[in-house]
Amino acid sequence: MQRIWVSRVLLASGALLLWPAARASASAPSPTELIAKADHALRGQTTAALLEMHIHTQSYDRNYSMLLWGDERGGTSRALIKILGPARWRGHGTLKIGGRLSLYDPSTDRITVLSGSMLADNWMGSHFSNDDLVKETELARDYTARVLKDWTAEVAGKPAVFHRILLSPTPRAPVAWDHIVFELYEQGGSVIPSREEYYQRQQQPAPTRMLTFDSVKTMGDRVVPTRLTVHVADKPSEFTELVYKQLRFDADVPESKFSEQELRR
Amino acid sequence: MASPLGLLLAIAWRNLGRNRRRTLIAGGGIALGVGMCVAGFGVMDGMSGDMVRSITDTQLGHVQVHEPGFSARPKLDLAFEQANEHAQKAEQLDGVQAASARVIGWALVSGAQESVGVQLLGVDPKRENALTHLERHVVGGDYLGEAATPWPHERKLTDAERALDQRLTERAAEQAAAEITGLGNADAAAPAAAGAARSETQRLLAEVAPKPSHPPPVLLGEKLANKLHVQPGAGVDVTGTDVDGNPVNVEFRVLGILRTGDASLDSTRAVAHIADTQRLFGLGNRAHELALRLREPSQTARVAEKLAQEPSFRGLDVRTWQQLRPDVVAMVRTNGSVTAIMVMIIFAVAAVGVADTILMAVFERRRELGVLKAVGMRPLAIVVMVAVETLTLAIGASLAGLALGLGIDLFLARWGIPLGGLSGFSMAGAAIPPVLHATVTKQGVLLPLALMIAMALLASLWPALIAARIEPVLAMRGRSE
Repeated sequence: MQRIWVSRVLLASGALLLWPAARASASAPSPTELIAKADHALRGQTTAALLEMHIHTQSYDRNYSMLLWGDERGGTSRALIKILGPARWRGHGTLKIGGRLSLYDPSTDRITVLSGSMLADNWMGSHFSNDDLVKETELARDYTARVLKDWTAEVAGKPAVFHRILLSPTPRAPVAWDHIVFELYEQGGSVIPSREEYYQRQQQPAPTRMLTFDSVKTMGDRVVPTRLTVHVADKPSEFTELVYKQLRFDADVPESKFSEQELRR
Repeated sequence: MASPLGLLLAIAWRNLGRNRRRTLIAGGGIALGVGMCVAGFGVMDGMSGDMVRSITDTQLGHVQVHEPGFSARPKLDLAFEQANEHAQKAEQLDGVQAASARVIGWALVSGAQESVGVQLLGVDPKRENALTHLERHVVGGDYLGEAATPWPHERKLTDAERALDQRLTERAAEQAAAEITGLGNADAAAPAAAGAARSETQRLLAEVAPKPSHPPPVLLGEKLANKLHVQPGAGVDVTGTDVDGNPVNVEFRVLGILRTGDASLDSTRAVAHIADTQRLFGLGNRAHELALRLREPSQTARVAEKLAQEPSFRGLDVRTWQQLRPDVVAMVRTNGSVTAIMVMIIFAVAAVGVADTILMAVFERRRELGVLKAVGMRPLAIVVMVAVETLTLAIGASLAGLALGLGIDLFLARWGIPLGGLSGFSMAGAAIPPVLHATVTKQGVLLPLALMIAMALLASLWPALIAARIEPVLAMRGRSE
């Protein structure tokens, strides 16, 4: 139920999907175009990223250093995540090829292809489930967008045009959300996501899950939010945070990156 | 002088003796009705009992305790503390025969080639055996031993080790950064193999996530073992996620093979020592489920209530098997309804027979009744007289019927009715036994008896009223009105 959206989080973090870049139009972009751009702010045809994940739960705090390769050039989206440290998880890897998810544990040199109930487990103790990595939702395709509010405000001393956009799933979209409220802004030709609220029911005081984007920097020739935080409503004190340290879009990532050999390396 | 009731009884007895054949036929009908009802109840109760036992004797037990929310949606972190203490506490409760705490986790078990997702059940070998007789289901190899597998405890890294770990991470990140920057550049050096980093990581890993000193034992369902192509003694890899979301991967050794007869259990369940599974899943002393077996199943609700009131069980979700398996309860209830309808039909037929017999008897004795009235017998007394006659017949015949029904019950309890083609059939996981055995229950005996007597009494009212309203003069003359 609550998983589909998170695939988008990891998509954002890892470019796990193929979607032709929305054409920029000279006139005021439509809400769907804005959504497509914001949805793809952190994804390219290929994506290479060095990032840190900070997980805060009631029972533990954890930091991963991760390397991520993403590829949306072919028909299936592919991604490889390798954990660089600390020791407890160093060398663990996750390989996604379309809907198939494999985990690698270096201590036993075994690759596990996830299935059934194991997909519901969370990914490496974070607020993402394994299922989130596999599900493929595309906001601009699976939702219809309607602007709720436009306003201007200053971001980092420069004017920005903000939009709050309501996303309602199209009738046949395979999504579990009742609606999403997406807040983004345009500044200097970039569309930057600032907040996504996911609601399960129509009348709901607080979103079931919330993503916030901040620490906007120029990275990988784009202006992107380099920090993404996930909060869940049923555990308000917990969160998972992704911080991008290095990003490179549309580089020539070799096909061989998305293989079991690479997972084992 | 005899009491009025004694007199009535004497009259009733004599009247019944007048036309012995008619009395015997009517009484025979009642006896047969009661006998069939008692036997029917016996078979139905036997079947319901077998069905209920077929589920409470397995993993379910009579009462289960979970962390709230677990029954609706089982999750690894919905576990209660101090599993052993809770089991001990429950065992001491009056009426509890056995209590067993369990860890319920999910894992992937891999043999040399195949991998199968299973429910990994962690049990206290002795307690679980007292509850579900698990040892009886071992068809190959051995049952779990008492002792848990020695498993070194993890320790925190020293400052120096943590600094080393930090350096290793930084070095890996630097290499990764260089690789990202060098993408598409053929001259960029391929990242150096991290051999040294790997061995140092291994050393640190042995401290923060130690492995057991030898592979812990595990029992596999028969179909599961066949699918994995493993026999007792073989090693299997158990892969899963611990309660903190860490991937875990430990080699287990197949100790025994389980055949419970439940196809889904035999193909998707692995059973290990509770302490080993607690270590594997990082649960400490926690468990997901406490199951209780009671000496007297009818005491289920009472024991559950008492357990829920124990201080250490406050805040836990205590449920009876009826609450956990409403489908089986509904099935048992359906059985009861079917029996009740059958009983009603039999009794309705019997009541008509009784009414007919008594009516005939009343008409035969019109003249006599007229005389009784003429000498001053009151109508109410006549009603009572007829009723007593009927009751005497009904009670006598019912007792005979009871003997018949009990005889059938006892025969069926011993020998049973083979169901032939239906054997091994199960509804909603509750097995319909291959042989139907009757059970004698208080309700199954007393209900037909009481109902039959009440019905007979009711059926006698109509002839009795006719008798009471006889006009003495007309009756003595031999006319009907």
